[in-house]
Order: sequence, then structure tokens, then C-alpha cells
Amino acid sequence: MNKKVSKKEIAQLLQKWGQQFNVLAPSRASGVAAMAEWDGKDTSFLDWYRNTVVPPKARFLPPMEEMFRFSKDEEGYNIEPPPKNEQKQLLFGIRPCDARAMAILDMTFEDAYKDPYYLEKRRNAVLVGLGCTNPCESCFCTSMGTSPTDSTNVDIMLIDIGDAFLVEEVTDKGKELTKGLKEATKNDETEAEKSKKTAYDKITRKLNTEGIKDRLLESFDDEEFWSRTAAKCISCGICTLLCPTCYCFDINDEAVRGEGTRFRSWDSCGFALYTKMPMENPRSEKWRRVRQKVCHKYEFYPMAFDVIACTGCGRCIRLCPVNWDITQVIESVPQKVKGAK
Amino acid sequence: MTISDIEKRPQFFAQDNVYTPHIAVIEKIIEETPGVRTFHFNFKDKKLAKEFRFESGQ
Repeated sequence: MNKKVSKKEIAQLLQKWGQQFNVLAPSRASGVAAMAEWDGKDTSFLDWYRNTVVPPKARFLPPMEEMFRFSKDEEGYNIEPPPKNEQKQLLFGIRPCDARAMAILDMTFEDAYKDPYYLEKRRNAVLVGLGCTNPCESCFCTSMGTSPTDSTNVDIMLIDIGDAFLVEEVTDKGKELTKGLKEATKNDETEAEKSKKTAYDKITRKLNTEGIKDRLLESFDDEEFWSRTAAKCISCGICTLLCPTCYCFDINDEAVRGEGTRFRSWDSCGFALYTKMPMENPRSEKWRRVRQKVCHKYEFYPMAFDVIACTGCGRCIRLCPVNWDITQVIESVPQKVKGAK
Repeated sequence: MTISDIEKRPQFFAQDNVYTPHIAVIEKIIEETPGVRTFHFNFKDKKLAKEFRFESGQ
């Protein structure tokens, strides 16, 4: 049986959760919408929030992160790991597309090489989803295996039913946190179903990804196609930095007089320097970098993990300064005739 | 923790942190062409050297 919480009681609920967790909620305090520490009272985001500009991945793979400190003395090199972060975080209001993105990122960070920095934060987190009621024109989540009210990858899902939210307890963690809430009525369930259908129907942008992996494989060496596709890209990298499933990073040391800190920071395959090596750069031309970005999401990731690394959140379309549109690119990948040159 | 202290090495394995560096010694430098050199490294820790796997792209 699902539960229910009035919109007026959200602040009270977050305060209660705040006793156990560092509660994060959509905020514009930094100038752009992002998940930030909740101030303990403001729930105005329930009115203005469509989705964050900075994806929630930033809470697990921060734009810049200390990995360890090092120093050298007479005995040798010393490594000092950063203090263990035991703080549990609760992300309130994550959208289903971004929750799916977290599940996609987990595949990389939990693969052959476990990433302790990411996984520590991820294991200590609770995701509370908030179904979309007003998706953006650039959203295409329904074509990418999810929907505006999909509860698959969250612990708790909230569906807007007017003055209240229907509360779906998805995981055991979620059940624990919703203890004490009122049970939803049959009428609430009906309203939630209506709300889900309305949200689904508002996603008008569609993308047919059938056979895309093979089409990209066949078009890999089609320089003419990729050059045309990359023509207006200015290599600013914003589509990758703000993509909820992109995870490229760089590692650097900052050291002074025998001691220093090793950091990692977001990077982008859209930057020419990303693949620069002492003697060559395999992606010095822009078309090769654009091809990498598209193929990584729609060809290489499906080959490795059997899932497309795009959730249709639409950020790369909304935020691109030159209106480069991934859905147009995917639809224009040539369908080669077998055996033809 | 001093990473050159081999006796403490199991603690590093236990940390399961693939980003933790280990001490290696440059054993040979080959001048392939002017400006291009091949460096041969070997871990000080024999056990680590035996277990280490190099994968393309690493």
C-alpha cells in the first residue's frame, strides 16, 4: 500500500529526515539549479523546480575532489587518505532520468576496478524521487527506458496529486523512512495514475534507438558524416560536464616542497587536450571527439553494459550554446546497405 | 603510513583503492629515437610486481 504526504508537510518530513541525513534539495543559491544542502525551511523549489542544471552526479563524483595527501621524509613517501566521509546524504527531488543515470554510473564505478571515493558516497545515500509534472521540451526520457514518474532507481518516489504527493516505497530503506506517514486512499491512487499519464504524454520528443549500436559501428569511419555532425560544435564541453552519465576525469598533483595533494577533477572527451599524449593526439580533430562522445553513449556503453548511457534528460540540448541536438544526430546516423562501400 | 614500508603493504591491499600509488624503481631507459625513450619500471614490492597486471589503455 502506498502512502501520502501533504505538500504543506514536506518541510516537516525533511526536518525529520535531517536528523539522520544531510538533506540535499534543489536550490538556486549558487546561481544555477543544483542539489544543495537544504536550509531547513524553504520548500519553494516545489513550485519552480523542473530539473537541476548541475546533475546529481556532482554529489558522488564532485567537480573537484581530494584523493589523498602525500609527503616525503627520510623514511620514504607517506600517504594520508582524506578523512572518511561517514555522513549519509539524502537527495530529495531527484528526477527519474537522473536516478537512472546514477544506476548507469554505478556500472562503471563498480566494475572491474572499484572506485572507493564514488562508492563510499553512493552507499551512504538515499534517493527520494520526485515525478515530473512539467517536463522540458528537450526531454526524451520515454525513449530511453524510463519515464517522468519511473520509480525503478530510487528508494522513495513522490507523485504529485494536487495538494499532496503519493509516496511509493520502493526499497527497504525507503520503507523505513516513510514509517508514520498516512496511507493513500483509492482516490489518491487514481489521481496518481492520472498524473503519471499526463506527465508521460507531455514528453513529445521521441528518439528511435533501434539498431543504433550497429548503425554507429558501420558509420564509425564515415568522416564526411562526422565532420558534418561536428561542424557547429565549439568544443565547449558543457554537454559532457553537465551530462548525468558522463564521468571523464583527470588527476593532478599540487605539491610544494616535498608535500602535496592529489586531486581529481571533471574532464571532458570534448576537449582536445583530453587525449593529448607526448607524441600524438588520437582525437585532435573535432569530428573525432564528437564521434567519441556519441559512440561512447550509444555504442560502446551498450557493448560493455547492455544499456545506452543516455537517459533523455535533455540537458545537452537545453544547455548547448549552438543548439547541437543529440536526437537529431542519432536519427541522422546513416543506415548502410550491407556489402555496399 | 609510509608506502615504502613493505610490511604494511597488506593494509594497502585491504584498502582496495586502485588509485593508491606504489614505489617503483626505474631499471632501464632505452633511447628509441631522439626525444623518445622507453622506461622499464619494477615495483620494489616483489609480491605486488608478481600480481600486477597491465591492461591496454591503463
